Amino acid sequence: MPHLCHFFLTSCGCLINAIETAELNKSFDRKGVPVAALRRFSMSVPQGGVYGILGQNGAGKSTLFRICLGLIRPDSGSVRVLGSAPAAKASLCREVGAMIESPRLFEYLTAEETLRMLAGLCGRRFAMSPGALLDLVGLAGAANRKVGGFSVGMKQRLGIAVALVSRPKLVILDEPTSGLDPVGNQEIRHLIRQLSTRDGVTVVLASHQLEEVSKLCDRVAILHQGSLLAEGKVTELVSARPRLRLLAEPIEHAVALLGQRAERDGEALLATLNHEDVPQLIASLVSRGTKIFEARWVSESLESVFLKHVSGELHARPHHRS
Amino acid sequence: MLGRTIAAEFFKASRRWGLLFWGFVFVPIYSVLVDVVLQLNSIHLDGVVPRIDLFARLARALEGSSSPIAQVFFIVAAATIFGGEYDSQNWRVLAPRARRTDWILAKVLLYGAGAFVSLALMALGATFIALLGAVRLREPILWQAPVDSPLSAMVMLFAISWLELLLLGLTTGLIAVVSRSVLVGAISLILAAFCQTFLSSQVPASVSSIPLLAALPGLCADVARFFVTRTEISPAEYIAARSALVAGASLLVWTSLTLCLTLAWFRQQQFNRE
Repeated sequence: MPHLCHFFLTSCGCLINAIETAELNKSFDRKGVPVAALRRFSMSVPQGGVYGILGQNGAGKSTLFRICLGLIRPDSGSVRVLGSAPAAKASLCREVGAMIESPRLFEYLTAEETLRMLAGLCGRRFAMSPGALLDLVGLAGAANRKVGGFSVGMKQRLGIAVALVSRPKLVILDEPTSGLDPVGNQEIRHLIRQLSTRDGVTVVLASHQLEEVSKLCDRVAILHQGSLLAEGKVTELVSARPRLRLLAEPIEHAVALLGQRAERDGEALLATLNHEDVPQLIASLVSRGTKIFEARWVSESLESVFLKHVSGELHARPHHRS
Repeated sequence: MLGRTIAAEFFKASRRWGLLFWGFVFVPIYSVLVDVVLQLNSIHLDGVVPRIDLFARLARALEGSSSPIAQVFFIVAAATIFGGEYDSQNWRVLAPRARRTDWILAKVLLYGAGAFVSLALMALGATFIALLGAVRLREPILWQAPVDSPLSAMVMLFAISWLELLLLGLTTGLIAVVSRSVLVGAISLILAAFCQTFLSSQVPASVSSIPLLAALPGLCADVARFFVTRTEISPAEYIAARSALVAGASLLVWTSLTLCLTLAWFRQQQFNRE
């Protein structure tokens, strides 16, 4: 029976990962020196939801996306996008939509013409109408304007529309909100959420805005110098170790009581404790005459998780890219 | 899929009036204007009324497309068609949406259609000027084709000129694709075209050296055209049919070779940068 279920689920595409890479290696030649962009990179992005890829500049995010789109070939290893090798399946071009780095569009075409031309490429019966798409990304008023005259934010919105034109199952967005004002930022975040929850589209996005990623993504992967450092649900990564933030005076009493379990966070202390130990700690401090101004549980932010992983890796592998 | 790619390529080109005008319309307009000026001054220059031979005029008009000045415009058009996507970094949007072979074939078709239209406009312009001259000079229009079937001779002339332009465009395209630059593609081919014209001018069109014909595609077009338009067959000017065949075959081989090389290069090209 389990085999039958597996066969059925695989046949209907439910068990196929959106992106699956295995032992992916890619290096570029820069002035005669080979620089590794991806190093034995293996990851699986499940279908459904929003998946965030975090990493510093040069971490390998764009290289990964370009490999997934068939723009570049890996030196070794394999990649499968929606179960197929990139560029091996003709229909993949309409099943995957992407905006890689800053969108480069056709300056001599209008926004509407751009979408019409690209809709024609994937077959009009599959494509979304240009009008509806422009409405969706908030560019309805600029449909007949040449792209060459667009601002950075408008180009960004059109880039997202371009990624969605073929009603794809998988959308890859590289820095989707860069260049957008706060309102535009929120609109695009809402659009991405809507795509995922209402339309069932898998969205894979790379962003430097960790706050945005933690709000938007269900799962994240942290890349550093071409390697996968961490991967998992955002809720698991950020709340793995909730700590007690304690603001007290004199703080030295608390330091003496907690010892190795506490670390300074400005004027406060961050303590790794069990819930049941807190009342006893507070009672001890009060009995020593310590004034307690604040005691609350705090989860780690995605930013601190990211920095912890990246800085740990930097200390571990200082000469890693040469 | 190829049909959609062709439609996209033609749609993009239809919005680039500069490319269409300077690439494929300017040369016919220029040649018509030059023809008009020459015709207006023809009587005054040598004092005799010229004969209006439509075949000769059409042949001369089509041959005009192989002048180095005319070729500059075709080269720039081809470099823009094949290399434009690198300069504007559009491949990241286009390449994943269709097979790479389809993109190159669509571009070849676009350039080929442009060259065809350009030659057709030149022929139409020559016909128009001949008619104008006949009316002005009150002379009959002659059709002195050297072969029994003047229409097939004209078709052959048209085909040779088109093939020559196609080869020029494909070679420009190959350089633009390899160098990922419009400028490099255009400049290198402009220099090559001028060098080839100079070398070809050093060799009589009655040449029958196969290695020379194989090495200079521009000379092949001249030899093939000379064979089709020959009027007086004296022993000195006689071109063996073999030379013409070699020239034609050489043009075809060069064209196929550049197309295959462009396709092969583009298929394996990596877009880590465009």
